[in-house]
Amino acid sequence: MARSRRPARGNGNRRGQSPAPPAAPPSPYGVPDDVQGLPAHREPGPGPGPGREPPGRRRRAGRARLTPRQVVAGSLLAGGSLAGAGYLSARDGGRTELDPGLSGGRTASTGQPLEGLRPDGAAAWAPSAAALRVPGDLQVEHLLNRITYGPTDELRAEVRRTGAAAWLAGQFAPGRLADPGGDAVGALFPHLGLTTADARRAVPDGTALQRELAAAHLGRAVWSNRQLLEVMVDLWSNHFTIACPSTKAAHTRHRFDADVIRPGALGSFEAMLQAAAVHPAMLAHFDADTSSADHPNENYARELLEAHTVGTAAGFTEQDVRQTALLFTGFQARDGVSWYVPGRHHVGRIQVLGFTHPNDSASGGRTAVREFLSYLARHRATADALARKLAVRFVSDSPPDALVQRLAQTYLRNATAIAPVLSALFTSAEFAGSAGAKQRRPMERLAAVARTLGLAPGHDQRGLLDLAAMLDAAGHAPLGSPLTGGYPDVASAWRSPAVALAGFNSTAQLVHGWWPRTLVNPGPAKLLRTQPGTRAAAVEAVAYRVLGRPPTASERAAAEKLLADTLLPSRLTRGSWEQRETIGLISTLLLCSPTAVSR
Amino acid sequence: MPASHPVAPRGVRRRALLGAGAGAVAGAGVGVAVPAVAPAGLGLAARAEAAAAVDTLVVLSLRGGADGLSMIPPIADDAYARARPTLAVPASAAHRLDDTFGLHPALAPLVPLWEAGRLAAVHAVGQPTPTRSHLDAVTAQESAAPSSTAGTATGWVDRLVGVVADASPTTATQVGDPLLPASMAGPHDNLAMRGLDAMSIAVSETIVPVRGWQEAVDLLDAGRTDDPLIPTLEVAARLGALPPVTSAAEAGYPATALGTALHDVARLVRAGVGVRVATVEDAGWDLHAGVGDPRSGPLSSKLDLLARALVAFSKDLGPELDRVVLVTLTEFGRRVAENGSGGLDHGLGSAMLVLGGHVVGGKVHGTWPGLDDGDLVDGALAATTDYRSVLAEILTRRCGVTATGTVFPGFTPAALGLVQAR
Repeated sequence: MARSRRPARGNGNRRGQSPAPPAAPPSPYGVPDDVQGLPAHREPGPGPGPGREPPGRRRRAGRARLTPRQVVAGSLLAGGSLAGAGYLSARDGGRTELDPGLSGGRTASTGQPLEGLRPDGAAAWAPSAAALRVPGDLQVEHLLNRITYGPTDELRAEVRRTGAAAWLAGQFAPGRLADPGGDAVGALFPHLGLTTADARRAVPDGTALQRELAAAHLGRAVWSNRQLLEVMVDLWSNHFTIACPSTKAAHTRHRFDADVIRPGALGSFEAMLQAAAVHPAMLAHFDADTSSADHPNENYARELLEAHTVGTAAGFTEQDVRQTALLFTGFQARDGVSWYVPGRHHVGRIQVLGFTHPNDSASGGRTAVREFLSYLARHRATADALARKLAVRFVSDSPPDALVQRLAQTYLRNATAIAPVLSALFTSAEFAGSAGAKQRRPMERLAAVARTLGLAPGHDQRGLLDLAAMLDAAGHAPLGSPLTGGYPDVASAWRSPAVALAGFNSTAQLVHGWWPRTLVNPGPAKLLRTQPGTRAAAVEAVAYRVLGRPPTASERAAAEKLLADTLLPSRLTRGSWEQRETIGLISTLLLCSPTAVSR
Repeated sequence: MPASHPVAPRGVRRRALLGAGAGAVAGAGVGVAVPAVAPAGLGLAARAEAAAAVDTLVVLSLRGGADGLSMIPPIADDAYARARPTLAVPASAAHRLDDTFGLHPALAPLVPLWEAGRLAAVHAVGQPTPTRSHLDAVTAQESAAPSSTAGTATGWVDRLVGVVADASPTTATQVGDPLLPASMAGPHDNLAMRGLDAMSIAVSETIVPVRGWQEAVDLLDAGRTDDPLIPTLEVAARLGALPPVTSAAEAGYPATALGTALHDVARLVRAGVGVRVATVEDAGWDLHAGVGDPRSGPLSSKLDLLARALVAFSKDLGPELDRVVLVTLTEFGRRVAENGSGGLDHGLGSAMLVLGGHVVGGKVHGTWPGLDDGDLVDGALAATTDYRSVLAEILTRRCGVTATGTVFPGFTPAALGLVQAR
């Protein structure tokens, strides 16, 4: 037993290590008497939090200085939510030291140790620049198109300065990246850092609170420096989808984002699965919080097998779903706390796919669940499904099977760690050779336009709430998919007339600065550094500005055709309305070009 | 009407239309108010006649799995109350429909339509290959074709568009959700919109005419693109020019997404813009927990909103209801027995409602399989009527489709006597 596993707040989530189970959680809400002493998930109470403890005091050897916000996220992870660690520690009889040779033991997302999210110490690592064998022919533009929500002139310059490998390595350790853009978004949405109880007091309307989460999610996609993290947060939010807004997770949905998705996005899949499974938001959204031995509820069981882990390709049966539901009986959740009630757990042998467990005592149910989740996380079908999902996200809508196979093996070899899979993916020939093969989904397209145009978030939430609402017309509200598995990542699933029209309309509105009014938007008059005196010069300048390259002959012809159908003159007076409108129309058109809408 | 219609690749069709200079992408009907879009050889009068001759099918999908055993409860079946000690609709609360079935009390607003013969139900409807996964069940139901695989599948609505002689981008139109449903997947230009209000163009046509955008977008990639924006800009311009109407609230619809969508559907039907199939989705039927009291619970609220939306829709249409058949469809029903959360897990058979001017109404159609242990399939109501039989009968008897072999390949529909032949 190496280091103390004590989380930021000891709340007793360490079965098998403590000879006497800690006391049951405080029970102001009528928690039943037969609660097993271990909360499955617990939010921090008045422990360390924003403004309560100077970040520096939390430093230990090898830890980075943390912002208060990071402390909150990290403490939650290391604290209550990490059922996975408790389980694994119990099974293994002790903790495995973090491997200091890798990332220094920090989570990718927050800089906090991944105690809970590192079941075997090898789960979370960030590759060094030297270890990232980026192919020599990898185009910077392509890399930025895929790893970020869209290239900007600043980002292009940065990557040229540091080199692609160094920049990419930095993205794997986002906690070490300064993030003024993401911090600015966070500052606009202070409610999202609150506990469930505090959030309910501050924003009684849970739908409004979740709209803030969706807007902040989009805002970070646009302005955070931690672009790979934000891309992965979106991917996992879809994978473990809890549609936002969710009625049942009204005041826990934002905690799911902060407790599970963000800290886990570049860590170990198994740890994320373990944390997700017992999070109050997940239990409530899929009715697992009311499932009992007498009357099991199958909702979560089906979601777990179909969407979170093995997938329908594994060929699980209705009997497997029922067995999974029986095993998952006994959890309850309320007010941001979840716990396990042995008296509600089904006792009896469980068999699902290749997993069998005697499950012969009510008190052992929690352990059996952990073992089952571990089995699922390491199942070959889960590896295949996740490898395919990542390849679809980063390579093409129909990625080569050979690549998927390699990634699945990487995943299993690395004990479900996500970063090594991404590292293998980004350095693959398939990745390098797939430039432009993906269509930007509606949110990605909107974010890319906002990044290209150089918008800024403004001084209140309004602008970002309005920006997020623009996606309603495309049916792609941020985090909003009600579908099993979230928004599909293949163009055939969402390509539609209305999506095309919504993309055009929102692009035109952002370019002209018509909407959202409270975003900081320089507008077409300030888009270019030069003042083009002719229509042709405007086309050249706009293409450089919004596509990062000169216009193609087709783009020139298209812009000429568009403007020829207007009353705008071909010679432009400096600072005139006609000049501004010409720039606006060309920008709108080129931001609808195949180059701009693909990645 | 030909049984099949040759389909040109999207880009070819679109460019041919652009090149024709008639701006005819909107096809039959959409351009009633704008003569420029009238297709050659089919005058306004002829199109009006063609439009009047066939019904518009409205498919209202109750997403999540709606519980037919609550909508049309088998109140005379003892096994029903036994399986649902807290959730069964008591016979005393239901509106009695026949010797076996009642109507959920929250659906009571529909009774006048039922008694007027405008509304019918079909019970124990389901899919041929039962699955209890939402995603799989919806995909299978909307593709409605055997051995379809992801990525290559077409939907039954898209195949229907393929057999409609005068198809246009509005022949199949979804209202409420801008993402095309799986039923519209395929080679045709089908329309999905959040609502008619969203069909507008941000840049004023006084600055750039629609045609200017279309041609410029077409040129952007040297004409190789097949950007759905090109036809959609024109559809948006024309739908945006439809005459204003009273608001959904003024027309008596409940203030829900469903009410708003049906209000738009009624507007499209009345405008005669060539909509042959309209699809609407209503979410929130996946009640694994908290179904609640049959008189006041969450399911009761859902049914109440559904009933009031349907009543408003029929009133809004007025005499035009004679040209409409609306069906409710769901991917599966719920389990017969209730679960520990006061809810109902995924089942199989469910019930459909059928509303229209020429429905054989006031009747529960179908074959009742019973609820005794031996009757159930894995604890669920067996499906004795294939949903495709319901759709096929409406399409052939009311919607001018001569045969459904292309729409529902490999399927021989059963005759149900659900709607009158034209």
